[in-house]
Amino acid sequence: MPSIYKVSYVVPGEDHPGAILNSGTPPHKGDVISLGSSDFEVIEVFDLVPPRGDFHYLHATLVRTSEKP
Amino acid sequence: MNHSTTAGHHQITHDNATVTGLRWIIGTLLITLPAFQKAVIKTKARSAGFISWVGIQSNLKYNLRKTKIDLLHIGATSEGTMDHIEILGSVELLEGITPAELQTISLICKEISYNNGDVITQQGESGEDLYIVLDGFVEVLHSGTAPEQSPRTIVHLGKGQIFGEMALVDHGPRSATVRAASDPTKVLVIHCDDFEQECEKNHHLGYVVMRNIAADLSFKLRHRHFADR
Repeated sequence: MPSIYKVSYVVPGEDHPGAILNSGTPPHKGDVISLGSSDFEVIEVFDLVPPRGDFHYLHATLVRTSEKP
Repeated sequence: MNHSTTAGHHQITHDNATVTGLRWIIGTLLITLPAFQKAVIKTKARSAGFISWVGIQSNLKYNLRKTKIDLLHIGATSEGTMDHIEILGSVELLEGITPAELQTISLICKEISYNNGDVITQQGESGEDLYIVLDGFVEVLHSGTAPEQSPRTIVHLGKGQIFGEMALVDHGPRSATVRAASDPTKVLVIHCDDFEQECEKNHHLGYVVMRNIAADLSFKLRHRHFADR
């Protein structure tokens, strides 16, 4: 079974609540992701807890890059 | 007598040949069947996009009998259930359960689609369902105790995430309001009574699910910890 990455996305210093979702690929520093109506850049990624089975548990810190129209 | 002996001999020879032949066939089958079955499973799985489920199969190194049972399961399963098996195989809540257990769970799931903004669960109300996000996002909102305080979004949950799991653990009222945040938002719904029944019948399933619920709640708490910094 391919790895599944459960990622906790957090936007510090903002009212944005962040998100938790599963992904087939891990996020990397510099990636741009869309959450709702905004785009964010990943500035930090680390293991939140050790992997278990096929699941990897990551934390990603984001900064807002743009607001979608 | 001779004829009879000869015939008997021939019969014995024939029987020996038959037995030898059968042994060869069975031996060949024993060697090739698992590989053949895997190939069949893989072909069926690929055609329906169930690579993750096949991954579970190959990881668990089933014996021949078990593989046969699993093949029968595949043959007997409807397409709708197979869709759910694929999805459930990638849900953390069910990480660590066997394919047979996965199928049992798939039989008590139903899929529901919501429009953006639809309320799925309401804080304070009683709830008896557990939800798994299939597609899109849901928004989790929490209202404070003060009546004038407007609900605050705590987190967005995407594909593979569960909500409503506290009802399965403590049967209490909904701790938050959850509404669809994308158009459409698809979820799988499992009634807690059905889930509990399966967990009671199969304690391995019950243990794995409860462990995974604890791990999920722990992950959500860690997320909140970072979000509140």
